[in-house]
Amino acid sequence: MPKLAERGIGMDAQKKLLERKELFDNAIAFKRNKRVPMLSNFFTWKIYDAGYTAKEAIYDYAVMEDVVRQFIERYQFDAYFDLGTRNPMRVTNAFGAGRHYIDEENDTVLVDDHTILLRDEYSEYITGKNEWYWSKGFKRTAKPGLTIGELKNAVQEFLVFGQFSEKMSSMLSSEYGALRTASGYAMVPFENLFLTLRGMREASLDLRKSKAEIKECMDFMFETESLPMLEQSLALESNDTAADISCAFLGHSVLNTSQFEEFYWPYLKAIIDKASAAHKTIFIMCEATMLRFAEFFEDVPKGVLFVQLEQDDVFEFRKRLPNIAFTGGMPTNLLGFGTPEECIEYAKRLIGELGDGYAFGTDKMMSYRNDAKRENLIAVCDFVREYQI
Amino acid sequence: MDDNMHINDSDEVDFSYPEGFEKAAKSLDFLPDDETRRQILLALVTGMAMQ
Repeated sequence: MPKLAERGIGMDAQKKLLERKELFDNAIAFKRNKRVPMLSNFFTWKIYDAGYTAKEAIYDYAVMEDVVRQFIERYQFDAYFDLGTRNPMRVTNAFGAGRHYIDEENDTVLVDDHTILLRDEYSEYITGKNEWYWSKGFKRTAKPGLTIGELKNAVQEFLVFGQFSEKMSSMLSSEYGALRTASGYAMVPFENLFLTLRGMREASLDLRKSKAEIKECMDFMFETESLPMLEQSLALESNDTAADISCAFLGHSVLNTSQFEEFYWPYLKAIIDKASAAHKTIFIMCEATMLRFAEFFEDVPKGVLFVQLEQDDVFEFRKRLPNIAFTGGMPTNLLGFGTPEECIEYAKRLIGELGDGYAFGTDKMMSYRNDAKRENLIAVCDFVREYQI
Repeated sequence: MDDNMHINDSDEVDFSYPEGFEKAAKSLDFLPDDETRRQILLALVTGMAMQ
């Protein structure tokens, strides 16, 4: 990646980027900061806050750009997880399918658990992955009778979406001097099965019914997909991101400890070890709890992981895993139903007790209208931005 | 496949492999070359389409 000036980023935005990057570098390394950095985990909430419906914003990139600009300008976080690109439904709808949909009555985006890869197709995936994707995976996903014209339109939508994503990333750094979460990506194979190919229910059942098959497939995925992706990610510059590599941590939520040890941890540990050896940082997007598997993370070197926590008690987390920096902790029910004063008091407690190794953030992905009130979020963001540690 | 084969927008997508895949890739005439067409189509069907 070219240096900031070579990418046409002005001096003011460069200065902000460098300051913000230093805040996150320090937080991840548990070094003292002059203030706590702020990471936005706001997704569809910002659509409602900007005065639009989910349908209006998701299908119109000009509207979505307005949503993101309003959000950045109003709250001024230092880093952003989502830039209006979480739900590429224009692409998936173009080939007549997609499993995400808008519940217009409740104005929210939903996804149903789904299965694309059948239990007896693991070996087929291993021996002819691209063939499986085309002749089975995509066939099951596309609407019946999909025409070449419709497919061409879907590919064009795919390209337009890519351009929109690049535009939003560029806008964030060059106009606002703010960071994305990470430049690279790492994938634990179980996540790919859990989230997409097998689905939550079926992937869980496979761990009991088809242990050998799912393990063989995950080994194959790790060698042929995860590791090459990781190697590419490790080579990237990260001068406009909070961390180097992002990694989803979602599927662990259905595993018991012995399953985690056998089917999940070996791959995640290999990713952590490689990143650590390369002096790179990993942003882990954790849903549910991580503390249930705390023993596995005890020996991770300080300064490698930066975790978005959800259901864990952040104060307990700090005591149990003092080697892992994190963001989160600001209660959604307080932002949604409390007063600005109550929100500021709680933010003060978070910063006071967590301090080094902490970035301010919310205790979950902000998706629903009632997750926060505007006046509460403005008050707490203004406070955190000015509060000296 | 035959470079001169005519592909109509109204044709149904053929999910055979590699023939149907190649035909679909070939139809993406707004992309610069065959290799780019294959790569973009594969990126769509192995990535975003699986979400």
